[in-house]
Amino acid sequence: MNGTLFFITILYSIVTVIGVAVYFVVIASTKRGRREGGGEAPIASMHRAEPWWAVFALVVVTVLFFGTLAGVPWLNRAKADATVNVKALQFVFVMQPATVKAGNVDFKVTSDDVSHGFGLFDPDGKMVSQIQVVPGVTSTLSTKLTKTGKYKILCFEYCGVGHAQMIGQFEVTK
Amino acid sequence: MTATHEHISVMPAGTLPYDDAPVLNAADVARTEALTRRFWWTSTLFLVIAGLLGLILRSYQAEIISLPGNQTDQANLWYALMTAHGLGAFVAWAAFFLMGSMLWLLMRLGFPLRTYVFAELSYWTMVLGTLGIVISTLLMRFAGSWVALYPLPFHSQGRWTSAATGVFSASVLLAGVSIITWCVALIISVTGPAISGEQKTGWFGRLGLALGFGYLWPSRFKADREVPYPIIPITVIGINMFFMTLPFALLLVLMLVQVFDSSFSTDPQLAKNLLWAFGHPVVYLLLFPVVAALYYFIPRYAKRPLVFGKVVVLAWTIGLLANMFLWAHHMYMDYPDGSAQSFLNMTHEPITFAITLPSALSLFGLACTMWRSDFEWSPGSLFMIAGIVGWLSAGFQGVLNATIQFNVVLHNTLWVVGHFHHMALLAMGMVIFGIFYAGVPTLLKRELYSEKLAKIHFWGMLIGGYGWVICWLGQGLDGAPRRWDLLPDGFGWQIWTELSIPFMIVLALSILTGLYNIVRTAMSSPWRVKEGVTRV
Ligand SMILES: [Cu+2]
Ligand SMILES: [Cu+2]
Repeated sequence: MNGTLFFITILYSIVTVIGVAVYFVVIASTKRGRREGGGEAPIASMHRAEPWWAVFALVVVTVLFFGTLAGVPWLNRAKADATVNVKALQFVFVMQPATVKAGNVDFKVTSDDVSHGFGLFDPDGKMVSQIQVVPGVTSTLSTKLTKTGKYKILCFEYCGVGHAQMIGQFEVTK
Repeated sequence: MTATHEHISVMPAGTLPYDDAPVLNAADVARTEALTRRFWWTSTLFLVIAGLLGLILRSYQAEIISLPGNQTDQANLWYALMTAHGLGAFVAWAAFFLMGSMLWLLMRLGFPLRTYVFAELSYWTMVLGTLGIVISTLLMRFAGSWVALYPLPFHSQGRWTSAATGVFSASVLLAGVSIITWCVALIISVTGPAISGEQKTGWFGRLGLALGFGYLWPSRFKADREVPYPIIPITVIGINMFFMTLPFALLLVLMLVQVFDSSFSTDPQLAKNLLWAFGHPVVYLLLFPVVAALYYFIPRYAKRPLVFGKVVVLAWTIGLLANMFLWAHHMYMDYPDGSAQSFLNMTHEPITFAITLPSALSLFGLACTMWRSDFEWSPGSLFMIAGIVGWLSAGFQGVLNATIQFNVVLHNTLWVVGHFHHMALLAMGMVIFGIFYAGVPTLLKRELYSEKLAKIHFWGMLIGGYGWVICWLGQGLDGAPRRWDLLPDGFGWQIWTELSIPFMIVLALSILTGLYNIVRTAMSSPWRVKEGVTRV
């Protein structure tokens, strides 16, 4: 599994377990509510809590926004050691050159027919990165490739009947 | 029956601190209930068809069944079924069911339709549009997926004709007309005299009241009656979809022009923006009505008013504005050299984050409303609470998808497919069934055929549904791409597909059980409603 995906898995699991557990506590509290005949909720204090809850939600998403800026691909391009020109068409990827040295690589991807997706997988079958390929423009995916071996490109945007046949390949050497 | 009568709601007398209209007009009640029943039965029929297509799609991927023709025919048919399934399940079932339900809720809250023309138009255009989608996909083999990502509909590799693209575009356009006319019906209804006398405030003042501004600026927005909270999300989505259906409608018209004049074309990047300007808000065509239903039903089950303050109203206003400027979160991976798209993506990320506010505050307020209440557990409330938990657990996924750094590895993986099935079926779909069960006594004038079958439906959907969704989420977290009829060997992805099949069967059987229960209810003799049962 890709490192970011692993992080997402852990983060999502923790947050969801907490969130669902809180809701289960609320659900369980209705048992006691039933025994007590649905006594008054502490409505005044709940009302006071509402703005704080909104502030909390805003703080969380603000931290998320600034904490992940370093992962925004177009803001964080390293200088390329090599460039690979990729032509995506129904239903193949044509790579030029098909072999590069390990390091920072720029993939310049174009399409003349429909939209495709350039999904990059390392020799162990782990996802590395992706970019959309819209016809008529050049899209540049910059990434650092350290592992050597045969990489695969899987089409990451539905492009017609042969979409699932659209697998490209290239090699990274020392 | 007299022209007007007391509450039809049968909460014990004197314990109704809720927001139903004090007096309902019997003619409105009968006509709206008939209309809602029509929306319900028709959309449920579409659910059966779309669900069946879903079963076929996943079974094919698990290589349990094959489709007619050679390998390419099979692949194209699979994508055609996928196109029909997506639109069928999302729009023709879930959205359509909720659109009908909102007409009913509005009426109950004292905002009956002021003209039935738009609601009827909405119904018939949706039915026609759905038929057209079925014809263009199943018969004419249009397989562009629901997004019909331009210019793919015109590059079919000989698999479908441009006539098929034309029928498909026109049909989806009809569904768009259905959504817009429904919005018009809603807006006319909520800006009527229900909250404030027409002479007291102008049209925009009444619209502001329907958005809850009376809670924020009582001196400015004077009303005869506090606006019921469910009216706020209904008004928000009415305004949102009225405007945000237009860009996609424009794209569909441009595609129709190209069908007739092949020298005409549209810029693909622009087309994609037009599509997603509709494509995100349409998710809220499901979610916001679901929230309105929760605002309506949960306080009744908890037997106390909603615990909401002013901030939630403000959050809905933020939601109203944010929903119109966040579509580029579907295009984060579009950043061609020298284009402004990356800038748009960057601005739509914080706007998307802002729209977590109405969700966060609603989930908080609903939890407070339930907290230590004498909550009534019935099939309706059980499904709705499961829907809330689904909303919470699928909502977190949405926040992750909306984060650009995470989107780099999540976009167009099966995680996204897991996410929207989680959201559409296990959050909003659960609430839809909750509305169905809660509404049966009132709308069908019959007691539910079997509480036991409803329980089987519930547990089957919960266990089957989560097992089935987790398989997609797991596949996606392992990098598996979406919209591949068959996944490649060598990545270890196929095991998840096979694992999902038993869960999917449990899910399908449970939904069939639920539908059987409701159909049996409808077939039983009417007016035999037990006394002392809470009706909402
Ligand atoms: Cu493709
Ligand atoms: Cu979205």
